[in-house]
Amino acid sequence: MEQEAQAGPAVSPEAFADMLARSSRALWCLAAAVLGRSDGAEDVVQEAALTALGKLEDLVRADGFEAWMGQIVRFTALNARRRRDHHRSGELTPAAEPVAQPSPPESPAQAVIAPDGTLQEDQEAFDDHVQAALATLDDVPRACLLLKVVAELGYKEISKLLDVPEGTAMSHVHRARLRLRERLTGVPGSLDSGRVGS
Amino acid sequence: MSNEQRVDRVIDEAIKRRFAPPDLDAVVQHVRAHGQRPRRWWWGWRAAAAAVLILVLVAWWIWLDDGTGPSEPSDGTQAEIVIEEVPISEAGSQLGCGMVNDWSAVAQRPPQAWIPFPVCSTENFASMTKKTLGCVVSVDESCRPTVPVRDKLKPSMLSFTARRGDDVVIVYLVPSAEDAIPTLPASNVRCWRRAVGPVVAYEVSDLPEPFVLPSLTVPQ
Repeated sequence: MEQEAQAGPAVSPEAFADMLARSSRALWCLAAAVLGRSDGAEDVVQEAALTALGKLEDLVRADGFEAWMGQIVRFTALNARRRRDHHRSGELTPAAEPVAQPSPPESPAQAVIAPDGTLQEDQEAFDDHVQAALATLDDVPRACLLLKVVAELGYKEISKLLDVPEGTAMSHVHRARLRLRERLTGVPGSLDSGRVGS
Repeated sequence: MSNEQRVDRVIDEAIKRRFAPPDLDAVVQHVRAHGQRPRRWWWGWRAAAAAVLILVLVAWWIWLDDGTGPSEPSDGTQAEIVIEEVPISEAGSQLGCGMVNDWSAVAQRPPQAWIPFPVCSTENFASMTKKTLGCVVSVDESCRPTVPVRDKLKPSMLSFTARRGDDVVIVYLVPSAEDAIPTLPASNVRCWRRAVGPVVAYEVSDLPEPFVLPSLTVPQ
């Protein structure tokens, strides 16, 4: 997602669309991270892009696109999440498609994945547990992890998109992984003690 | 590979399955198409309003230029132009207002030898009317007068000729205080009269309608 610097007084709608095309995958991951799910992330990206399109005069330099657009996507996703939560709180019946929120394992006996990486249950159930564990993270660490794992961004690009220092992005990813490992294996702390294989 | 790395890889695969980005080309295309529209919805209305305004102004200008539109009265009488045709009397042989006695000869169709006529400039005509009648009289450019003729007329009267194509008309201007409707000998000519502010104008020609009188004005 490295953007070529297009320094200039303004960004045309066409140039904006080009930058959006290059960053759309990362922006989608950011929206999904804030929402906590993939549903609705595409709508958030589109809404954010249209909002940004109407404020192009605020984007003075093209090389500031990531931070500027990332902020708009985050705000848009937060608003969408609040609307969703508000809508749910007003419902008398459960949501049609509730997000799976299984309780994370509390001990190795309840672990959904063995310390050596072997799944203790079927993949679908494991994926539900991973998503539930992700939901326990704060927005920014979750976004850092998704951008690293799904969008396969480098820490420098993540730091631009989230407007945080590169070291902070790295730390967020590290802590998020640790947190997920703990919750899914039921083993607190590092697992480095049990190396297997060559 | 460590256990930690194995677990991370399994978790990463699960994350990728649950958060697989869709094809976002449609979103980009939608934004691209939206970017080609006017950035502000009211810009279109502004443009439409400006276009309508321009059309109205152009139509107004054409209407005025055509001469059919309203014009600002330059004197108190222009808005109420009253031109009356003076009957030709067989009995009369003189102009009661003191025009030349041999009017009958003048009243005949002017000889073609008068053509071409030297055209009086607007400034000269205004100066002449001011000097002779005591007020400036203007006439439309389309019927610019030839050199004013004052021979044998009263000092306070002015006459001039004007051309409409090959036709020639004779116009007499006289102060209202000295006006007396003339009588003309029977002929193929016609005579019209119009009061323009402090001046009374007569137009004599064989045209079916007055040519110069409608355009005479006395600026305030």
